[in-house]
Amino acid sequence: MEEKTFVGYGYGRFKNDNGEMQDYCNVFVLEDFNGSENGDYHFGGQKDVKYGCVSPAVWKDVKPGMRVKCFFDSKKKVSYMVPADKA
Amino acid sequence: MDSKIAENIVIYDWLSFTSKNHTPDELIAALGLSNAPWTLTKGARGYQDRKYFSSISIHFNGRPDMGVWVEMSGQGCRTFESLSSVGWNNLFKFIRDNALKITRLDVAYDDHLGVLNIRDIVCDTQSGMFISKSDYWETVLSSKGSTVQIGSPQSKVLIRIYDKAAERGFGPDVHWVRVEIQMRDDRAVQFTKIVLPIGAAFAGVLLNYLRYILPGEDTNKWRWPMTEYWFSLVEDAQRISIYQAPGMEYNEERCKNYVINQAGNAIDAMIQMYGLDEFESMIQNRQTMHNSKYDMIVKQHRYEVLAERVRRYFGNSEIA
Repeated sequence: MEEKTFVGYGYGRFKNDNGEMQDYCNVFVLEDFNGSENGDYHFGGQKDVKYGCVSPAVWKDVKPGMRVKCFFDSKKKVSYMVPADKA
Repeated sequence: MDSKIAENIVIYDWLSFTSKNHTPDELIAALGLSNAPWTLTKGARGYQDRKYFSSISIHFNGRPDMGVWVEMSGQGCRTFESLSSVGWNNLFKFIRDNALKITRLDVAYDDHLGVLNIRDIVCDTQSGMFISKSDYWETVLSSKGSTVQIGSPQSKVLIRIYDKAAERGFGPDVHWVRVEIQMRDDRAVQFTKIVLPIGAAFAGVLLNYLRYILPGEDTNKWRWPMTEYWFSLVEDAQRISIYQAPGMEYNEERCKNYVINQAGNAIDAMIQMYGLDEFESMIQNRQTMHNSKYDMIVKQHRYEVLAERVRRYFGNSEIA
């Protein structure tokens, strides 16, 4: 279970292409890059990644800046998040 | 799994079991994960429905004789370890006490420190420099690294050794070789009964099913000396830190033969004169130079004892 740094969230509603209001809910984390560097692939530090999230309740026990462990549902959305030191 | 792990580890990497006497919620409670946000989704392999949380699936609503199927992938095993207070021993006890069927249990050793060289293992496998309870083996060389498999997919015990770093796309600076024992049915249940830490149990099963060896003289190839890297693997899995690479020609039988048949009369006389304790003290304080070949004999003997302890659970049955 990889640890990430929780840095923020965003949720609400937006008008989709069909003109209907649709819910959205995302969390933003910092995580390590995958793989190793090579001639065609360079990186340093960490990357910021946006994950879909099942509901705002997911971040009720964590605050931005905390190290967390993320658990995903079958649609690869974050369904549970806990401080890394409590998991 | 993080590529930056700086130590070798032994982990449970897959668990799958079925129950005909429990509801999905009862099994979730047995896992200690009742408070996790399970979601309902589509089942697989004949099951209509599935409860899912972080790589743990509880399949249900199959035919009446199918019961409920719990499946934890490697990531699911990590979820169980991270969030449940039940622990592996209690989960296995629950499975055994309720006579549930374990359909698959994987135990994996991750070498991050360079104990194993996958190219050597591929080479020794293709050269037949191993002894195994299975006569089926295969090596696969691909763009995702090399894999050695001992035991057919139908075997109750299958061992797979592969370059995990290459599979994950890491460069040559990352060393990650995985040795995986995949057990099914009664072999999996027997593994959970072994009263040893996971590393020692893993090493014991490995010693009983697969050894990479050097040519010897004994008619029984299981008594041929193990290669240095296989020794290191077994030793590391058990967390034994003392190791010196010794010569391989001297063996336990020769040592015993020399002590009993050639020096036996002299030793007997010494014990009669000085008593066992004094004699032992004289041996411990002897002036002769240390010779690592005897360390090897002691270690090989110790591993035979470990293998024998595990053999009690696994018997001598051949695998396909």
